[in-house]
Amino acid sequence: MAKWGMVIDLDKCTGCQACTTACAMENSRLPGENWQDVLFYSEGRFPNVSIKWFPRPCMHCEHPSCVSACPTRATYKEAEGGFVLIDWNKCIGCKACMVACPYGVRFYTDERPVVAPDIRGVFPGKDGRSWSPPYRGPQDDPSHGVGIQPNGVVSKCTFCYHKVSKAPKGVADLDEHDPATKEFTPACVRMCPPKARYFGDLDNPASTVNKLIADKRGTRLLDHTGNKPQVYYLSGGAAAAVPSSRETNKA
Amino acid sequence: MNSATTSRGGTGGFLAGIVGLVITGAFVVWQLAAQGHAAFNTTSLGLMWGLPIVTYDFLLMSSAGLGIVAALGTVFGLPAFRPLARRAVWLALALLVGAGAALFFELGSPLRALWAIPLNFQVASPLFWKVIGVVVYAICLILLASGWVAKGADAKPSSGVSVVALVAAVFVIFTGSLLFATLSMRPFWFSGEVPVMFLVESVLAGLAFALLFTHLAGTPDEATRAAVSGPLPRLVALLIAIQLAFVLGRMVVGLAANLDGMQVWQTIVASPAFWIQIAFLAVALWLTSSPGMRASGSMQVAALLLLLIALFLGKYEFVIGGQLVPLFKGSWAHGLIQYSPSTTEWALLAMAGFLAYAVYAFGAARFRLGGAA
Repeated sequence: MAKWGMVIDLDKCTGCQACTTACAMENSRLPGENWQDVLFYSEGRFPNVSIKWFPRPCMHCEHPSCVSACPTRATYKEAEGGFVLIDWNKCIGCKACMVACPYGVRFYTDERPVVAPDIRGVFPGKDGRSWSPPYRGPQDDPSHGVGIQPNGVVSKCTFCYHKVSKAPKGVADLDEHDPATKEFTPACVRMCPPKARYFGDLDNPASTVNKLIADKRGTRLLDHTGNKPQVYYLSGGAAAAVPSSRETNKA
Repeated sequence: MNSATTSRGGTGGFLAGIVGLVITGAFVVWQLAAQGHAAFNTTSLGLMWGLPIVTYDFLLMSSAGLGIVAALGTVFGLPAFRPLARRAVWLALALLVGAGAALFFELGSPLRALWAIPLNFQVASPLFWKVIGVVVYAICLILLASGWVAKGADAKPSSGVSVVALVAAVFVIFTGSLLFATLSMRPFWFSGEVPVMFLVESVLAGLAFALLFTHLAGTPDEATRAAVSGPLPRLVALLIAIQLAFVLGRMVVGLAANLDGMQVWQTIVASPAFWIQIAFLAVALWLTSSPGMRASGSMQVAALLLLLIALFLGKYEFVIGGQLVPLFKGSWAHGLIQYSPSTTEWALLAMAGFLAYAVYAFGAARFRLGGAA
């Protein structure tokens, strides 16, 4: 049984946001409601200021606080693969999971648009969905939170469940350079120009993600919360870095 | 108590409550129908739980506090609580209805919640247990209201139902606090003292509501007059002192802590609402602890009003304050989130209040809510 995880090498990340764009296209996201986001911020004060950035998907935690906050099992941890997903048929829109998520990866679609103007007015939703994008992927699986988000529910990154869950059994890595696994690789990983992202089975000792975590001392975000993310970061201290405190400034 | 006088006052109050409910409810429904939850100032990149959740939590916790006040006389034989018990039962029911209305308009899919919560058995979630507790508590209140309050002066409360109501009320308060208290990523909430703080706040709010509406009902009998001018205000004063200790203690710890996220306290302490809360609590403490002031009904009404406003401000500060750190939300790493309620959110607060008041006034017009149990 695989436990899918991601490694993001911050020394390679250029902050280009191709991952954000690829995710938005793949998952029909509303503008600004980025399941995969890159946070930009500055540290220090003039003249010693540096611009930094930080790519942030859902961490698909081993012990997700969002799952134990949800009163209806709408948010759940899939045993096969270790995905943290949302069943839109059970979600009541209480937003407890959003409050309980340490990483800010969840979106509730009924509220004010994150980016103006509200594109939902231009492409109004049908059949209870939040909008009708001019392009939409063919996948539609509400019980796994895949497709266009309905009204009144919360959504989040699925690790591209609709692709990864169809990967061949026993494969250690999902790599865009491997023709056998390319189509099963998450959109953000596949589209990353500097190859800063790796995706594989954390339970497979031979996987590239495990080797990178071991060789480059992969770290997890906010590990003290006990959530135990399945996304690891590698950093040798280059430009992209984990925001250190509230003292950081909006860039 | 003059039942005829009470009936006329209750009928007038009921009509006033209904008029307010219709006006504010129509505005809320219109705004939500036109804009959906975009009518609230909550956003995916900002605050998740705004004034509607503050309203819901305040009314629900106050209702649970009233349930405790109503049951103490029967369960533990405390005579001072008995003159307030009938009114406390009906007020608890009224506030529970108001809380439910606020939540109904806040949830994305409220009708789905009716089956999705009880049927999916998410036993790891405090909210699941909270809902179970609220259902049991509501059934107990309905049984007490129909089998005791509605049956006239000679009826006696069921001790069994009172015990279950008391346990359920405490259970609702504790499970209601757990979602906040267990979130380690939000240090403003993450604390072992939060469930106890919720218990003190809830009992204090319940007692304040029961005493306030007893004073407003007027012309109490001898036992009621003795209770509302003696032991109960003294208990209120004690609970206010404990509440002040919680608020000031948390403030000192919050200002002294260097943990990322506790900077929220600097924002809270810089806001006028925080100091209004402290001032109102201090004045209410003085008015309820001074023997001379306790003898004055109007001073007690003023003290209880100030106390309830302070408790609401405290609830607002707690629920909102815990969310002001955006964690990793949004394309940019912000400072703290800025939030102020929208007109629709204020209208929802008023609507829940009018609904609760209308339900209370209906009971005041129909039943004898005063007098010893």
